[in-house]
Amino acid sequence: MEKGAKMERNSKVLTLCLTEACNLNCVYCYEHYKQTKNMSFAIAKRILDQELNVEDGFDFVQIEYFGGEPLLAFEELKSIHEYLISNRWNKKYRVNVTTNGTLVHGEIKQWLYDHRDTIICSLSLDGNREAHNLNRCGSFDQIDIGFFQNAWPNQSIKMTVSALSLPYFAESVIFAHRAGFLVNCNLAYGIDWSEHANIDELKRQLSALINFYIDNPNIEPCSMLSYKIEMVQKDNSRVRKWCGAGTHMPTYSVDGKKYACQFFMPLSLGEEKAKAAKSLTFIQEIPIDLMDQKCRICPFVSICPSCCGSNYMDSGSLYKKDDNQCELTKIIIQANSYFQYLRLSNNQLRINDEEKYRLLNGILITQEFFNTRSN
Amino acid sequence: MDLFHINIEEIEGKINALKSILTTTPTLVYAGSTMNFSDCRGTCMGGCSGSCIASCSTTCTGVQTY
Repeated sequence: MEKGAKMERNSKVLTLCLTEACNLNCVYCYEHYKQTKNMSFAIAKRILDQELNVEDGFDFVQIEYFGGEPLLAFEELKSIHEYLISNRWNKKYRVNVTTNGTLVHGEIKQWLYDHRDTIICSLSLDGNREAHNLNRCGSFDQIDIGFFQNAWPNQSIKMTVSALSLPYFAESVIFAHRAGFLVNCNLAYGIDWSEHANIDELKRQLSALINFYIDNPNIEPCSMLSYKIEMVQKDNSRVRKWCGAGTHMPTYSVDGKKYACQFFMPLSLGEEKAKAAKSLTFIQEIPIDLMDQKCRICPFVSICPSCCGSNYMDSGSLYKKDDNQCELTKIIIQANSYFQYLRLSNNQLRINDEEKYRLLNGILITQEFFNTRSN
Repeated sequence: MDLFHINIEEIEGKINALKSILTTTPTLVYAGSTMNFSDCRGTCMGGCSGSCIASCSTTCTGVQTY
């Protein structure tokens, strides 16, 4: 495994759902059909033997131990991981386990620490105590946050924002930065964002965060304020699929069946819908006329973080995005254009003149769009 | 709430100032074109609500988690 390696171009993400069980019940969880089944070592071995040796054009594999809460299957995880690292493979790989952190104590904590050079622990932390507890069953005080920062000092936390935790969003991100983390954050998919008050609340939170980052230019902004505004354009004839679902993200359920991503497993969709989804075609470059009507005329379609799994779950279409989330995403994009303009004006961006030109063009298109809307 | 607005003429002024410096007009980055790392949208981890760590791996080579 390459320590510190970046994702390489010809890479795939291999997700192993080690267990369907979880000890939490987060407010936005999309896994609606949880059972207590775990993946056996024999099934995991078969998958690793296949996926790490097959000639499929990918030379790097990001392996995800996923769940449920994967550390509920700690004995299986240990066996699988020991098998993985004690063998040689045709492909390079890196391993990540996504955890809610509540079980990382005692033996599990020690094992993870001892294996920190071969496994990265991604902590789902939804912010400060108030925000996290609202979303994640009051579990904040069960997590040894300092352990994660100490063992994987450059690791980002994964922060999901719900309508409940939105009023705490800015202070949550600042809390995480002050604890030493980078922050990957997104609005939760598949929940009700229809309350109009969410719009003004999101604006308030983003405004507070922008002020924080302008005052602290050495802190890397969270992912919600790192959109690539230079990609905004007036002419969108084709759109790249945002994620690897169905094309380079093989995901295996506990019984060893392969799915497009974790959203398409029976664990998330239920047996019947998951079976129907098997016939879906996933393409990496999507002709614009396949997109939802509102997306075809949207200048932001190329940077819009659409989740095809969530779209399918909600609407039965890979490309139909929730209207309320669409509005909130537009606000995030407008805030990004404003933030990056401020950074540019304050000489806080280390980019050359050509990059400035591209960025300013994206900012211009964004601002013109919102000017037209408000007139 | 009227936040995040920038004066359009101010942006155009900066673009025109850059045009006078640059010897050629830079090609804009278009979605659907082959993207280099520097063109990567970089927000894939925030965009995916699932395993979230590197799901945009064909277009983004810049995900560094460790």
